[in-house]
Amino acid sequence: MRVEEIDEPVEVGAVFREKRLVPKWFLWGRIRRVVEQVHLSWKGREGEADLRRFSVGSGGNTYQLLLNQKTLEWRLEKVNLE
Amino acid sequence: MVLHVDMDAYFASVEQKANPRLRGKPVVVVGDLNRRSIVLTASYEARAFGIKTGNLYWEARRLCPAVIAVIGDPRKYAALSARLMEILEGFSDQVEVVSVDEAYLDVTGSLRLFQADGEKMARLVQGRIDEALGLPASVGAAPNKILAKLAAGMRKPRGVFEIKPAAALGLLETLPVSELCGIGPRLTESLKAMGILTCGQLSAASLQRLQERFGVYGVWMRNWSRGQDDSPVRSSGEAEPVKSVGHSTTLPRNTEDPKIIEAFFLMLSDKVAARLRRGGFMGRTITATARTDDFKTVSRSVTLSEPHADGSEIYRVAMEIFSTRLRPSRPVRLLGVSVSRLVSADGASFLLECLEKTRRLTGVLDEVNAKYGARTLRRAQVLQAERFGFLEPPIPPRGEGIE
Repeated sequence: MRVEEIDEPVEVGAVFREKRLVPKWFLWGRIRRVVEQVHLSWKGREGEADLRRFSVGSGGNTYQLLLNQKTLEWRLEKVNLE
Repeated sequence: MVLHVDMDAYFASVEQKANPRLRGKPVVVVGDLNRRSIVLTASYEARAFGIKTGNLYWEARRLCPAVIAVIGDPRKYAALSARLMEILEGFSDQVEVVSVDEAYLDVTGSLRLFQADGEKMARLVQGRIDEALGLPASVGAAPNKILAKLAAGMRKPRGVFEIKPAAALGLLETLPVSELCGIGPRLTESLKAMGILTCGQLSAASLQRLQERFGVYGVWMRNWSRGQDDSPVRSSGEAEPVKSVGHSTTLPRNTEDPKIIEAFFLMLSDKVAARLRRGGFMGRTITATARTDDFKTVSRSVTLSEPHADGSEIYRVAMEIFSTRLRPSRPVRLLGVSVSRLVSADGASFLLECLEKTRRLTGVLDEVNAKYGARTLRRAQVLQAERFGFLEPPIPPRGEGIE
């Protein structure tokens, strides 16, 4: 098992459901990956920016997505590869 | 009725929740993958191999070659901890946060509302935590804090246990004194030297003898050994005032290089100073700490005539203490700086122009770092410490990562 630090902008599709923001897919490296499960989500702060992070499963790997709620930018922070 | 909530193998449980591939596997959470990195938490699967918090990473690998190391993410743990405390506040308005993964609740006023006794209340809390966070917790219920904490540890992991008043003495009779919160390894040895090994023996010990040896702490220990503890559950608004602010760090490699030591002291001093200013404090006593490679730790302090919250001044004094009073003759593995004798910084200004300039400059520095993130602006000399590498302490100051 290894962790790769990515830190790249990605396109994300998400739904608002039951007062929660749930990512449903993300586009990374021209491949659209479906989020099969959101394992964990948590909030954070960097300076004045409110951040939201999601640990999601797709295709057997675990990805960490970051939403900057100030800029509305999504980034793929890292991926845990089997 | 007091509950003690204690999350099970918290950091490791959070990582296993975040990554299903880690579930059911021996996992340790470490500061980094350096061999000398400390195990911050071990999952229960790792504990089965004898791995414990405080082991060095290489020791953990020796005990279990298949152990998976995960680099800790303090902000993630802090964010989930904030949510945990919110959940607990749904059961009582008296919640005392002990650490990132532990809290006491006084639920005396809530039992009727929830139509529950201690054990049922503990199960309700445990269930709510599991439902909301998906993380395992053990909960103890008892008439006071010392017994509630003991109860929480009785059936870990995912344990629920209530110590009723009538059962307390019987349970404590043969319990080793080291099992009581507040009696660590040194006190255990000191009590052992007096022939006291169990709570029953401590309970029966001469109060005068205990007071002579341990002062008022001897009285407390004897009370605890009898299941007596009248300390209240303090909610955050009632917390005791801050007495000191400090930071320490274990170096990735032992060193005698003065430039590296200076860089680390500067980094630590700036961190302490930033926290003081955030809290609205200044302090007069500066303490420098060094631990050498043989694990001997020495601290020395200097008290200034005026209080300070300026990293440069704290650094100057810390370095002076290090070079004139600590003067380690062996390589250093840990350095620390703390400031105490705190006073409010409200309305502080300085007559000397140079000090006033420094105060305004650090104010600007704080504003920039608050807007764009900690360490956006930092001194060039601190880069040396960053290049050398440092192991970030696992717990950020409270207030970060709030949900």
